Amino acid sequence: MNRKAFLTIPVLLALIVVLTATSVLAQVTPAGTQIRNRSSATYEDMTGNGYSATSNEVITIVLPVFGVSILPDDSGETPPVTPAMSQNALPGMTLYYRYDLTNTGNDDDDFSLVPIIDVANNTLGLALGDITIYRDLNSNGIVDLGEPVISLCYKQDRRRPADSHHRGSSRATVGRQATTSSPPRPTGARS
Amino acid sequence: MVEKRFLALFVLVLGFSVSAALAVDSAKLTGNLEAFRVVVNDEGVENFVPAENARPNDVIEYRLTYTNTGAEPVQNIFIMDPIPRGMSFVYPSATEPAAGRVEFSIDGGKTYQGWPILVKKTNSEGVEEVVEATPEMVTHVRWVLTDTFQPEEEVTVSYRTVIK
Repeated sequence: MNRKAFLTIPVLLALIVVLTATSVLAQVTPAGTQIRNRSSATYEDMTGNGYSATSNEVITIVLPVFGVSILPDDSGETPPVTPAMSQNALPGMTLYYRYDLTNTGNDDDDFSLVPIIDVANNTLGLALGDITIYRDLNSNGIVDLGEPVISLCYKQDRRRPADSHHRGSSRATVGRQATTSSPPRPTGARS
Repeated sequence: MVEKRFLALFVLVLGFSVSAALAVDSAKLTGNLEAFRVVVNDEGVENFVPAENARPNDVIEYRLTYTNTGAEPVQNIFIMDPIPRGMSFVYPSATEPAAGRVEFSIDGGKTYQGWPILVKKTNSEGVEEVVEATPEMVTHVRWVLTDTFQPEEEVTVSYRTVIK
């Protein structure tokens, strides 16, 4: 039961791309929570003596729901009319893009991040191996020493708790100049 | 002589306890709470499934039934239910009693008011203004029943919440 979230990175020039992913907090009731309820009443007899009563307790257990979002996203068209992000680049440059990944479910989950390249709209000859996704541990938007690679091409996943914040980055190398291109698209899927 | 006095005192105490117990039984209200998940089918018809499990955004209907199980009538009935943690009240969903009113609290059950509840709020420009409370702010629901309930007579009220 994989759910995929697609992002489009509009890039004018790119061969090495750096992606960054972040996340936001969501207010959902965690899976497994026991929601308990018990009502009460007060009343009087006909001479005004007061009494109280309580009902039985009912319990509802919250089941898990799963979801993931990666933002910013593009306008939805293929190719995107309004790209979420774009940069100009010269051959050999490394470009960095920051994304926010949010576990929108209510339970801990695993996600595999895979860059997607829009080959039909890409004149850069960008290959999957040219793109690296990093986890931005300190959420500063850049790749720092020791921040791990989490892209699927490196066979690394990261467990992401519900409501967690995550940032990552990816990079690609510009090998030659191109007039137009469609950027690589990171995909987040439950694994 | 001492033994007789003690026996008399014991009988007196026992008699008082029995009469007190009878007094409690003579006016007795018994509550029953049920929880149902509201499921809407393709035709828009609502079905109710016991809410043993539910997911975020599911709507839960709580039904509260109170029955006079005593031997005497009871009056001035107040039925209260806190909105459970992890849920938000759905407005309008609390049923109006046949005789009485339904009230809401946004302060943990300290005070109750009819809807809408007005609250003071400071807007983005720093100006204090009076606005209506939102359903998410409701912490308790209370039904004030003005009827007298005869033995075996019962009342059922309900309201809905949504799981956050």
